[in-house]
Amino acid sequence: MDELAAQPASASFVPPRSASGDGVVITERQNLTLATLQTRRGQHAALRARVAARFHVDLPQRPAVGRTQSVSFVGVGPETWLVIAPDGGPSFVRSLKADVAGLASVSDQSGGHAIFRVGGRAVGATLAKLVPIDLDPAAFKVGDAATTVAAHVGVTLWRCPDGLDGEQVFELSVFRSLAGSFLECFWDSAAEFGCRWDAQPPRASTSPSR
Amino acid sequence: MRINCPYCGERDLGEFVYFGDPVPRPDPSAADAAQRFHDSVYLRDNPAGPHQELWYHAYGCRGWLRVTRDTRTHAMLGSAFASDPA
Repeated sequence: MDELAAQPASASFVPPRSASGDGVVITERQNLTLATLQTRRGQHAALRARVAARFHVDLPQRPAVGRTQSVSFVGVGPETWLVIAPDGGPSFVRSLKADVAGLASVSDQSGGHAIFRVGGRAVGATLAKLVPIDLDPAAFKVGDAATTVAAHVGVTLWRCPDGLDGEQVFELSVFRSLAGSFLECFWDSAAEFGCRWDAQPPRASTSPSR
Repeated sequence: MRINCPYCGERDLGEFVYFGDPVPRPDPSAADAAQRFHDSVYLRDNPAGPHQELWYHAYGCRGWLRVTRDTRTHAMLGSAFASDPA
């Protein structure tokens, strides 16, 4: 897991030159420590209390992101979360397992998912071609999450604080082995607006997720 | 057709897999188990009207749902996780 996680999932992806422009900006978040967290039977309340005491955040009980300075919990199903620790390092999953021992199962996913951050003025129009859910700012608020499908690829996405340009910013998690297919489809969808690969994530205006 | 998932909200049919009626699994140790499974798999009611059915939210929360649907209109009359008490 660690060996894969240390390499970008987008390494072999070559952005088509025909789509150059800056209507949409995409970057891959790298060096993330990822894990799934799933409550054991009957331990829901105890797990919430344990996580609140350890991380000072309420585990979201719906598709949404619970976020602190150092870790994010994305609700992906009933009593199931994707845990993202940008600076966690390999010891994070071990310590998380110890923190919730007996209350939840933890599985290291650091090499299992790729996470892309997308923004720009046409990000909404691009994602509207890909996912069958309503991402209008009025319907999908900052902190909301959803697990759905984009061009036959399962994705979990969530809305980050708006970028400095005032536009919506999303992060999307896909299974790492499907990252190439996802990127090709995303790039094709963004081509009419122009798409730019950004070396640095577009910075959020408030409380960035890392 | 759109299905209301108790966790994810209303979603497109394409995210789901149909499984069938929520009928109890026949007892595999019964003497006439083969006949019971045959009846369970093939001899299904096909009502015109409200119908209970199981759907798997494959592209969403991966939960099993018990959905009540009107087979004449596709109107969704209710949905809950199959693990919840009926």
